[in-house]
Order: sequence, then structure tokens, then C-alpha cells
Amino acid sequence: MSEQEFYIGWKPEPPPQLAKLVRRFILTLLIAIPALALAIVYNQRGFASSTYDLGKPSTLDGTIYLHPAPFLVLAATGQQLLLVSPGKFGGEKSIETIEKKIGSGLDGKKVQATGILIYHDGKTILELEEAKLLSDQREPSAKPTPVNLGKVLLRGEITDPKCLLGTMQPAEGKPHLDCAVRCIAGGITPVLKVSNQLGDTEYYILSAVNGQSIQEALLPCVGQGVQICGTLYQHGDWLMLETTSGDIKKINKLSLNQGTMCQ
Amino acid sequence: MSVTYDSIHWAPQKKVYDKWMIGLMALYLVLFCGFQLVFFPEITPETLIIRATGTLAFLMLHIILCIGPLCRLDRRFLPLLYNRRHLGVATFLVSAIHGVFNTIQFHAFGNVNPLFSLLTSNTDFTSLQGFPFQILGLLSLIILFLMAATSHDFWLNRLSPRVWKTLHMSVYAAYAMLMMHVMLGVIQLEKSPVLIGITGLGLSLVVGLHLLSALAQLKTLRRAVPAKQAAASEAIPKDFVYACTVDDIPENCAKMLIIKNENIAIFKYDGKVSAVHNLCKHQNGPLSEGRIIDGCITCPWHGYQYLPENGQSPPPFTEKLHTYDVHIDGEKVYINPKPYPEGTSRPPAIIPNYLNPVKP
Repeated sequence: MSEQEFYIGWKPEPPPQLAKLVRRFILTLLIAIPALALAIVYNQRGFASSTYDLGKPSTLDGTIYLHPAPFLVLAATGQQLLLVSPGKFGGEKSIETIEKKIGSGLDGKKVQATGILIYHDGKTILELEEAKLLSDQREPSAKPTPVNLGKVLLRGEITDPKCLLGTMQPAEGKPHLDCAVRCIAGGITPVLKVSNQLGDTEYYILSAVNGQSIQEALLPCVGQGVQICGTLYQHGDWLMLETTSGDIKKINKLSLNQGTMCQ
Repeated sequence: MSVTYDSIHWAPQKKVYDKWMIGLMALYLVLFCGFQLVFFPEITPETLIIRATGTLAFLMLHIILCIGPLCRLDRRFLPLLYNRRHLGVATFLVSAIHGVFNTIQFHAFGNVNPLFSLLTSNTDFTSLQGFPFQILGLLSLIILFLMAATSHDFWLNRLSPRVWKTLHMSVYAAYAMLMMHVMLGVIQLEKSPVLIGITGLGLSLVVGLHLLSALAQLKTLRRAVPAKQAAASEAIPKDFVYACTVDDIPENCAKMLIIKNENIAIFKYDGKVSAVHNLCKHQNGPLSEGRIIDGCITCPWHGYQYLPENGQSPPPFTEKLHTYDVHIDGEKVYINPKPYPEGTSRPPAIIPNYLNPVKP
């Protein structure tokens, strides 16, 4: 490097030879940056086409049930919407707030509910914001009767359905693990997502054998591969797996999708 | 080089540097978001921001880490080093956007404080597959913050170049943790061989350039040890040791020497030879790779200047270097490696029969 090419940053101009190399470096970046951006984006695994109707609240008539999970059974179609609250909280939080406000319990009662719809893969969730009591009488007949489908062994990933069905992408695996822990700890009904090699996916609501919540016991297994043994019920639109913490076993996530969905 | 602490000393080349830096950052963000919306229109805005800023910050950190060894291997890359601090601060800002959006997305609006959630939601520290990668991201962000916050020359002077340099070397710890953050986080989900390949290529580039630069540095250090000479004649003053020949030092340049653990730069200029400590007071830049410009030793990194006879920056600047006594016997240059206090005037050794080189 000659004396003329010695670089001094505080001088107005760099020496021409150095400027030439820097220009080449920038030119390389101008080519590399688009290529890199394209390569990174194109090689992602993609995102589910789930929907979160943020900013577009819906108003629906139906009956609220709190057990085995908070549901709204629609009056018009009988469709069963799992209830959650805004943020990372289960439906119970909004229901308690509304109950305090109207001075009456909501379990088993007909309401006009307002909230944000979250839907994907034929499953729908309502992020409950408001509810007006339409009748103060309990309507037990609207509650779906669970049908026992027998003992099953399932392999999948425990996550929260609110993120999984719409509010987040991706809503599974390691990047979403902490969020799923927060959602389930906040009372959102946990689900087991089970997929097979063909790409078919089913979601199983997880509950304890006595129909109570199982959130706390599941937290160490959230976002990881698990094998769960339990009794399967068809509960209206949803499949529900009753299990105990002792019947949940962590497995290598790589072994997921390699067997049948259900044994 | 500035005698006062401006918030930013806007030299013209810094403006050009920053314009290109911001332009290239914007180009990446626009293209990344554009490609996302074309190939994956179902992506949520939060995920788009998280992925765009995360990948950009990681890319910028790779460029930052490559600039140092590139400059050691080929000094023509020095213009990239001059304003690297702005690149570092920009990297922190992009990383901070990534971190804040991640914390809001995954930890806010829950039943505990978001930061508490980040630290406690996953505590599977014993498993590589389950390792809490977000904590690694947080630790790297803290390091990048400390570096960005102390990047100004005010902190360099307050902390001393040695402490400042040590603090800023923690960028390697941040890089290692970010690499693990990526590999144990999003790569575990995505599993794409191309993404793994790109990450591996980045790591190989950083490690490879550092190894090559270390080898080059080792050669320089070997050359810096003076050749052994027969016992000096009585004409050589006591405590002086042989350094090199006059011809070993290029005109208006220096030769680096390591003598008795002293790192010394011997400069030849205008028929004279002077010796000063080799490390610039600014950021420990290698003065022996500098030049004599306008009668001053000029550091190759940021252009800090010193007078060769006394190691002092010309007024109004106040930086001072240790100086050394030099003796010339015929063609041989001898040096006393005992340093004088910083800024001590020492007469340069005069080259006998010096012929002023013809300038082109």
C-alpha cells in the first residue's frame, strides 16, 4: 500500500484505490443481501392458514358451559366454541369478570356473547369480551353429552389452542414453547396436537380424569414431544382426552409423526 | 480525532458510511418483508417483524466480526473499520426491536411479569433439545447494549483503552450465545438444510477469517523479534539492543519490534529514526502499521496522530505515548527498550549519509 493509499477516516475522501475495494465490497453486499433474504424466506416451513379476527368482533347467541372446559354452544347451529379471554388467559377470567358485572352466574345459561373469533382446521375459539344474559334459566339440554370412545395412546405436542388456531404463527415447537407455557398457566385449556405422516392433524382437549383442569401438571411437558395414555371422549365438536399426570411421558420429538395418530 | 466530546463527530466519510449502512439495512428489511408477503402471505405482522429484525441483526453481527480480521489480512478494508461503532450500535438497535417484540409476543399479557416469564417459563437447562434459547438471546442483547452504551470515546477515555477493549471483546461471547440462540431456537423448528447451511456458512466465515488473521498476526509477531547479533561493540551505549537495519524500515513508515516484552514502533522519516510505544492511546491500534503524515505518526485505525520525537499528540490534543532512545551505528539501529514516561521528548537518531528519497 503506497503512502497515497493510506487511509485516514477523518479526511474528506478515501484514497481512490481503497474506495475501489470498498465499492466492490458494497457491490457484493448488494448482490448477497437479496439472495440471502430470498434464501431465508423461501426455505421456511411455512405458516398455518389460521385466522384471528382481530379488530372484528362477532356477536353470537348461545349457552355457556364451564365444564369440562369453558364452551359456548351456539343456539343456531349447535357448534361448540372453546372460550378464552384476551391475553394469555383461559375463558374463566372473562366469564368471572362478566359474572361480577351482571351479578349472576353464567354456567348453563343462554347469553349473547361478543368476542373475537379464532379458527382453523374446523375448530373455532371465541375470545370472549362481553356477554349479555338472555335468560336466567339454566339450559342443561344444550350441553353435549360426552361419548366414550375408549382407551387410547396418543403421541403429539401439548400446546395452547388459542395460539395454535390463529393468534400466532408459528404456534408450536421451541420458539413458541414459552408462550404456550404462559397461556396454559393462565388457564387456557390445553390441547394435544397430533399429526401423522400424511399431514392429517387432530386436536385433543386435555383434562384430568375427574373432569378438572390439568394445566399445572402439563407445564413441564408443554412444547415437547409427549406420549399420553387416557380415555377419549367425543364432546360435541371436540375430542377430549381424560388422563392423569402419571400417564404422560416425554418422548423425542423426532419420533412424532412416525406412527399412527391413535393406538 | 476530536479534542472535545461531540455526541457524534460527523466526518464526511462517517456520513457516507452511515448512509450506505442504513440503505443496505433498509434494502434487507424491504426485501425480506416483500418476499415473506409473496411466499407466505399468512404470516402475522409480529412474526414478520421478529424474523426480519432477528435475521438482519444476526447478519450485521457477522459483518461486524468479519471486518476486524479482513483489515488484518488486507489493510485496504480499513475504511470499513473506521465507523464500525455505528454499525455496532445499529446492530444493537435492530436486536432490541427483535427482543422487545419477542418479549411482548411470547411473554406479555400473561399471569406474570414478562421478564419473569422469559426467565422462568423454560428451565430445562440440562437438555440441548429443550434448552431455553430465549435466555441466551437476552444475555447477548445485554452484552450488545453494554457495548453500544459505552461505544462513545467518552467511555473509552473513562474506562481506559484496555478495559474498554476487554469489555468490547465480549462481542465474541454475545456471538457464541446468539449462534446457540438461533440453533436451539428457530432452526430446531424449521429444520431446513438450507437455513442450517447458511448459519454454518456464517460461522465458518467468522471462524475462518479469525484463524487466517491469527496466523498472519503470528507471522508479524515473529518478524517483530529482532535477529540475534554478536555482542555489540563498545561504541553502542549500555542497555541498547540491536533492532534492525535502517533499510528494514520503509521511509515514513515503521517497523514493529518486541524487545523485552516492550511493543515498540520504530519510525524512519526525514533522515531520522524515532521509537514510540506501538499501541495507539485511542483503541490500542497498531501504530507500526501507520504512516508519518504531515510530520505526525498517524494511526491506521482512526487517524489519531502523535509527534515521533516526543509521542505527544499535536496541540490541542492531549494523548501521549511512551518514547524510547534510539541509536544508529552505521546501518544498524539499536534501541533501549526501557520506556520513558509518556510524552517525554527524546532526540531522534540521525541516519548518516541520508539521501532524501525522491518523491513521485
